[in-house]
Amino acid sequence: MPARLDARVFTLSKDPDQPSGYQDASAVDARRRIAAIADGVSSSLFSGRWASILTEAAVGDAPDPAEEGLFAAWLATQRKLWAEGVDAASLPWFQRAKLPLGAFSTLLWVRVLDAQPAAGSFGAYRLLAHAIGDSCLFQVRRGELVRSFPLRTSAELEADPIVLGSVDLKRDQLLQFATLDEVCYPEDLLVLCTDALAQWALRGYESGSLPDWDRAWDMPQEAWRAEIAALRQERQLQDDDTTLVMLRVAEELLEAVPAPEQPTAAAAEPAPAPLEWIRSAAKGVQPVAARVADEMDQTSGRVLRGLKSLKDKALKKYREKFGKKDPPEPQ
Amino acid sequence: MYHAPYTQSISRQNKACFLFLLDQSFSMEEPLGNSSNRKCDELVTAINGWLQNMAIRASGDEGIKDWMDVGVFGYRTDQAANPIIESALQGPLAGRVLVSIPEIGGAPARIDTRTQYLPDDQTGEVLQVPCEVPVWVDPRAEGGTPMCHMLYLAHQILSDWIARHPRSFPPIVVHITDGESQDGNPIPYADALKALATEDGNVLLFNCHLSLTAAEPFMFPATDEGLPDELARVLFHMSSVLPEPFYRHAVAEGFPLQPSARGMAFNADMVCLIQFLNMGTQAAPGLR
Repeated sequence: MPARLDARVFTLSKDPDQPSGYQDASAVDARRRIAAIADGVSSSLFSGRWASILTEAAVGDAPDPAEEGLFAAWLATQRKLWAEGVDAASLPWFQRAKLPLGAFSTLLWVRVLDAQPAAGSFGAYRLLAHAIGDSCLFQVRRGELVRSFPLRTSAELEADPIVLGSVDLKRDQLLQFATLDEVCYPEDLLVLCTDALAQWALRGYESGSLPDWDRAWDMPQEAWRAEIAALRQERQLQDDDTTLVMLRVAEELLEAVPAPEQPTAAAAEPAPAPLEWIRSAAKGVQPVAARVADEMDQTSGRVLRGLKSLKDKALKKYREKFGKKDPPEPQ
Repeated sequence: MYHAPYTQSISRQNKACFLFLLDQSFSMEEPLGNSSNRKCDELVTAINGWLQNMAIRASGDEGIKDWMDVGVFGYRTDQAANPIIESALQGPLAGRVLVSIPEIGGAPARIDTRTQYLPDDQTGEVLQVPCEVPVWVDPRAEGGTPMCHMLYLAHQILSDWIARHPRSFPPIVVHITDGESQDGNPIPYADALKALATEDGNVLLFNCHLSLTAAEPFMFPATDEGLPDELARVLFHMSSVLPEPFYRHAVAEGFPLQPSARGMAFNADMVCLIQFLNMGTQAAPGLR
């Protein structure tokens, strides 16, 4: 069954009064089921643009980082794009001094692929993710954390992350991407966060105070921002650009094939399908429920056809035995 | 809700404050240990370098982020032994008490061009590269050492700043001197300054003594035992104990610190001075 990614994206800059200072970035391609998040290092210059270039490119055509030659060429292309957008001559002294170091950013991208036939997990999709730095993916099923990637503990966020630079400082050999190759299921929630929110969430999982992502999914942007601002105020969340991308694998129903017309059915009230109530009760979880209902419709149809066949056979025997008279009406 | 002290992130809403107190007495004419340059020259090189680095670090796509206020004061006496306590900033910022970092970056007194010597990675040759060096503070060395007057004024300046920034990371005062106070016992003045506090903790006072000789430096001592003289012990008792984030940062940087280490350096040369400035000012949340 074809699938797409439903997505919700929330953002709040470190300084809510200055949204132009926001230096995280995210991108989602729902149709190709790929999404990316990046955290531009605020102490570097034009890192928001660098983070944006990286996420767009990751969603577009990022190669597997393990393919070193391909990846180096891809990275060089993005660096060129970043450099072309900077007019060095127009910068003041403090930006000119910083420019040679370039911008830095984390990068995490995730892709949901059709499962390989050999995977053996019925209904599963392949979940493939690559990450450098401390942006984090949480895979959540019915409110329970299945896994976090690449971070597992909040303590890992204490260290300075390894990041991708927009200038080749001859240190690319130090770049080490983490790779996740797992499965996910329809209705799994894939949550991508930049570091401040990731640390808050990991602390929550560690202390048993589970983040309620489903509630966040239904929130308007402004309500979510108010909650983040409150968490910052209470110092539960670090003052930092904050980005949350939530993805849900949604299966798309095939378009219904119209039933062949029945000559006598034109004026008749169409009989409801035996298990229509499941469909109506299961709005929001339609794909799975629809499948169940279809299965049960087909089963009950087979049962009804079987009963009719038994009844016909019994009538035939009765008529043969008692001179083609119908049985008496029941009392 | 309780928050551990010295954890407030530095931001536009919760600015930081750094106040530098520079000894400009006559003895600063003497050369600094391990250097042929005068103490006052090396000191302003270090301070100008700190201001330059901070302006660069605070710079973003749209200029310098307004995340901190900085004051640079010098203290000395005139020929009649009257204390002269004034802002050491020159150029457009002369006379200003506390200046935001965007203003610092936007208005150096001048930008000098110096030659930087850098090794060429590919050929191994040493390249001469011109570089821009902004200057805010010029060297000065005359008169005596009115330390108590300086600490008294610092108390006034920071009382006012704290009233306007009660939630901020507390101000950090970096005092650099080469001699003892000549206007009284500075410890009570230092204690009064350290008693000032924001909701995030008390004002931090770090003291650095510049050495004439190439003597062994003492960095961040945890006790006054073993310090070489009374001046060192006075500076020790004037200095704040390093809060947990500073302690952890220093240990991570390779300093073999003991718990209760104080923000103090004695017999510092130029290397120690720069290390001291960095260690004393970069552990605040958001500055790393």
